[in-house]
Amino acid sequence: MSIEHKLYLKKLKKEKVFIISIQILITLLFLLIWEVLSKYNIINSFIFSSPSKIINTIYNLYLERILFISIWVTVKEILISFILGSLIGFVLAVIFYMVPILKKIFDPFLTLINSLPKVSLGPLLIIWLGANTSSIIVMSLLINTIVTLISIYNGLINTDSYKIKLFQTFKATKLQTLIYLVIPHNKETILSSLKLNISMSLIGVIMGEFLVSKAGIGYLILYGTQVFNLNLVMSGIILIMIISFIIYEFINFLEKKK
Amino acid sequence: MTNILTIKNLTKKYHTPEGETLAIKDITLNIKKGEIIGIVGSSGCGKSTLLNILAGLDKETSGEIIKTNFKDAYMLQSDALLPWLTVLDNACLGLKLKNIKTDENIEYVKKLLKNFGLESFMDAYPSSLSGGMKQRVALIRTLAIKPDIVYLDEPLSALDYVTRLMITDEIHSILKKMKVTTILISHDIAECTSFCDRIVVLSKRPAVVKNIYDIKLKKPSTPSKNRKDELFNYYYDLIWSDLDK
Ligand SMILES: Nc1ncnc2c1ncn2[C@@H]1O[C@H](COP(=O)(O)OP(=O)(O)OP(=O)(O)O)[C@@H](O)[C@H]1O
Ligand SMILES: [Mg+2]
Repeated sequence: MSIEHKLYLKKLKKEKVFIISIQILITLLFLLIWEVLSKYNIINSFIFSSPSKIINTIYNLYLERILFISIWVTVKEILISFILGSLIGFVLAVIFYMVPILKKIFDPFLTLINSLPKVSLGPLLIIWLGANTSSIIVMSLLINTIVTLISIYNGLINTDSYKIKLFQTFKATKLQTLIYLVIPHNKETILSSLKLNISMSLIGVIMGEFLVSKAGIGYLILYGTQVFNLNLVMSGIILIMIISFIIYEFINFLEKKK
Repeated sequence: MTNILTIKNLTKKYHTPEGETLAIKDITLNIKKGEIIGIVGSSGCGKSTLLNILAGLDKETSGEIIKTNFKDAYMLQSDALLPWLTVLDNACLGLKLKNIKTDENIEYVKKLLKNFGLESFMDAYPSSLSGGMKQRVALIRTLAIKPDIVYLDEPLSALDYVTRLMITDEIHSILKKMKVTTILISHDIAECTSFCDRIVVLSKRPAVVKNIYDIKLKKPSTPSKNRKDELFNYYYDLIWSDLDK
């Protein structure tokens, strides 16, 4: 490696370290100001809570054995709806791709469902499925499946037409074309729609928990609101932020690994 | 020589919501076993359409195509290499899709890669190849299934002039050595005249056969030497004057 290149790499690293330090500094400063303002009652600590109160609340949740149960309930719901939504969305996208007439027939219905605010279906779900986990998961599926379906489908139909023709020249079957061309060609699209799906699942699950649940972080927030315990509400929000951050970083990690 | 392929009164119309296009009108042509036949005609006259129909990618509107028992392979206008496969795997794609990727056939592909000077790039990915190398891989992919007849649609159109001249000789010698019947489309009359045994001149759309020339040079040799043949210019001028411009 030449000296110039070493210097260049060093400069890159230096910049990265600088950015991260500033980010940490901003966060700490924010927390500190928040803490001080609420401690000296410059802001109403009952409504705005404070970092120490939030940590305290989370610690109490832990002591009461509610913390990990709540996290697990929510994470489980996210995982189930993510896996189901991705699978159903992917399979439907492939079917629509393989049988274009189906896509043409169902197109307006998809648009209709996609443009409907899903939360409006909440009351119906509760009546049909009961106030339980299945309602939450169906709510999340309503949100994530169609988005996955549409984004994967759009990738599939944009497969390079010359390459499709190439496969035809070798008299490849439709299945061969799908496995050896269309899917590998759309690996990036599929991965990025899975990434999108994770955030969709998170939104769907929290929305579902607001509507029906008796457990989970969405429920903690809802309960906190009902008893006007804003420390609990803030703690719930922080926990959701942490969960979504971890999931996001995990996907980034998977993406970089391949 | 016997006919390997006979085209009788072939007509092709395309239908689109905007209307219909008559692309090919009543083409009759015999393709002889082992010959290299060139097809020239102005852009959009229906040359690719003809190959698509011969290769079974498209259906004729009327007429008849009588195929003897042969294996055909089609090299498209673009190389269409798959970026996620190595050069070797790209070259073996046809073998894989036809379920004949045997050790013996892989060895054969490696031999072809070697013949075309791509031996050291076998495990490389297409992105690291030059345009000329990519075209060669595409050609090897076409030849790998050991076809009796190949359809080449402007196989070298993406290349610069010098590379083109160099590759032309290699391809010509391999086709002749393997005794592959070849139908070649080219915009380049000089290339066609130096490369082919016969040349079919098509009219503007709808394509009809205007003329067929047997290219009988004084001393037929490699394409690059053919360009210096006494009779080369004679054929070149004939075809040039025939072409609808
Ligand atoms: N799938 C299709 N649907 C409708 N029209 C088509 C289709 N394919 C080709 N055509 C029309 O048929 C005519 C002949 O097209 P073709 O691709 O065979 O021309 P070509 O001789 O190969 O041209 P070029 O030299 O530019 O490659 C053109 O007018 C084209 O617009
Ligand atoms: Mg063409």
